[in-house]
Amino acid sequence: MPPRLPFAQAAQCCRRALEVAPKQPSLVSLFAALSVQTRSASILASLSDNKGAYHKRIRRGRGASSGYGKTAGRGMKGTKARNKVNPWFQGGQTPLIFKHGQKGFVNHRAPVMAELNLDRLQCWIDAGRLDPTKTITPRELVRSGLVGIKDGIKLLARGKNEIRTPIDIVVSRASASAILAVEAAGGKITTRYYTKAAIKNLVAGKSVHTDKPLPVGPEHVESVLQQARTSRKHFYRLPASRPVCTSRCLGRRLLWARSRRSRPTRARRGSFRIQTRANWGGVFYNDKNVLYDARVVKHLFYASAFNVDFHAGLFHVADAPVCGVVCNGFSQG
Amino acid sequence: MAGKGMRCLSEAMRGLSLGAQTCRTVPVRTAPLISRRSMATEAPVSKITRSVAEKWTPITTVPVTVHSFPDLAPRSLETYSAKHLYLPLRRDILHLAVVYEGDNTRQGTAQAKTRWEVAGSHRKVRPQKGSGRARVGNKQSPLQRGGGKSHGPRNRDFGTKLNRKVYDLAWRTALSYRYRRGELIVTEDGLDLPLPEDFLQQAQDGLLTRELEDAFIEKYVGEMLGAMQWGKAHGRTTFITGEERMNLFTAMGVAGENGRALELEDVDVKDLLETGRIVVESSVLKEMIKRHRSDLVTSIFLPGQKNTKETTMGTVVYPSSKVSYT
Repeated sequence: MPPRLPFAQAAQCCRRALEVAPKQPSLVSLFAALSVQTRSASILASLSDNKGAYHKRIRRGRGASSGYGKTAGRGMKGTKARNKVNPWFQGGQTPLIFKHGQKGFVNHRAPVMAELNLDRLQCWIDAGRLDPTKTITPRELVRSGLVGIKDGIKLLARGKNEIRTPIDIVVSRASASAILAVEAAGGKITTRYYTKAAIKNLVAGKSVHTDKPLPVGPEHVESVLQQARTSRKHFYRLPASRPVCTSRCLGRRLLWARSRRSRPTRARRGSFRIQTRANWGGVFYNDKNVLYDARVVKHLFYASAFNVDFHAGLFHVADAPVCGVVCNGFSQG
Repeated sequence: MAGKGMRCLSEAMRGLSLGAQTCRTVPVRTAPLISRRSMATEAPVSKITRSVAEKWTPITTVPVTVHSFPDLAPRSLETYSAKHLYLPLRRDILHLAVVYEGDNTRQGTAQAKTRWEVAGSHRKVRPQKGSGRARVGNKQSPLQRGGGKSHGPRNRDFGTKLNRKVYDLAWRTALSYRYRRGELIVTEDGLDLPLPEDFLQQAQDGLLTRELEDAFIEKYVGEMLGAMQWGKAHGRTTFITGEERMNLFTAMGVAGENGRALELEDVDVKDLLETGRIVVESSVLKEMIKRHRSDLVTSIFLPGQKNTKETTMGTVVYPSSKVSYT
């Protein structure tokens, strides 16, 4: 709004308007002008904080009119009128906590996942906030405001009947029903291990999402060096973008793998579990230096598709595919 | 009698007519939507809502006309970011800021002596027993005349805290509120009150007494601001300058009922909200915003990185520097 200027001054900027103004204003315009507010009232009197922003402190024991006067809200005589009673007190009986001790624990180091439900995902796609034609990675999910940055993202199946767009999505974890729903809609889920820092880097554009494996072998050295020399910006390569094997053939279960930096120790631990326990864990590398999830290895092991070198933490497949997110080659095993 | 009344009415009508108020926007009275009847031949209602699918593009800059003072001729046109002068009105934020300022303005210097501070001997006034009168200790007791004050006021700091970013937001919200209502008048730098030459000459020659000078100034300022519709009848006016201007500040000190003059350093949010309008120098407005934008500008500087999020503040649109006026 232009500054409200008095007539004489306003005339300078509105001379033309004055010239065309009718000499005798109609009665309607006169009464319209009557509604112009000329009284100046300060806003100061109508300022107040938001409702509920202030909590008036209860002043206990400050007179009967407060409602918390004589006994200050503690009723009549007794222990509770005088002291505090511990929440575990059971009237003198040995409390459970002393009788049996503490049970369980809280794992403060457990990863806190950002939960992502299918109905919200579909809603975001419908609103045009996510592009389903491209791969939906944590970067897209965070930047569209769908989830925040936590230790990872888990896809859950709330509203699984609503999902109808075929999507290609990369998340940390996914529930079994969510996988079923996405694949029934013609989509695809890839799970990867992310840390909080990895997601931050991905969102900030410091690292790139790729489904190509880490080039291993002397024949790649030259091209990688060449690229590093010529490209202006250096992108971190997420650990998760090392080759990961997921298999859709094993009962349509989705397997996720953690990439490990220290290969020999982890692999050895994994191979140890093969021998001793039914619970398969850890990771394995094949002779082409491709990382595999232990559960994949387990299935293949029982199918006698290959030999496992337990001591070296390696296994050998006769004609195993070198890499790939989905290793279709294993479906024969 | 009747003729006089009619004359008054016609004068009032003339004063209120549109021709006299060219700059005002005349609100068009329309019936509320609910009470309106729909007609078969009704024209479609103008589009006042926005579809979800449409992209929302709010305005990013607002224009500010710089006037000369006191004739208020437009001199140039500047552009300010909407984040500086077009923020939505937040009464809660303004309230926080005004209360914060009020708390910190309190002197807190009230002090009464307790019984331990009242000077004098602490001798027992009379024996405990046998006098037939009430027992009494020393004469500094709060019950005694001239004794100390129990629970009296003590020197203390009433100051409260407010996050700097909130306070800065309140400051710009106050400016935005004024701007939106057309009560922010920006003038060229060097805002001062021109006084008649002959008056100044006489005052310099010492021909006028203090009372005469004050009476003249009071009348002069009153008539001048009254004619501009800036005076007492129109809610007074606050002038804000970079440093003290002799004529303006003296005159507003004398004719305080018509307004006030403040230096930039003395202005706070409450001052911006108080009177009918704010008249501020162009450079002072820039400086105000510069000082109160901590929520917009990062205070962290990294080597080799420029702060690219600088928003437009007082960019001169007209007269353009490329155009030459001959």
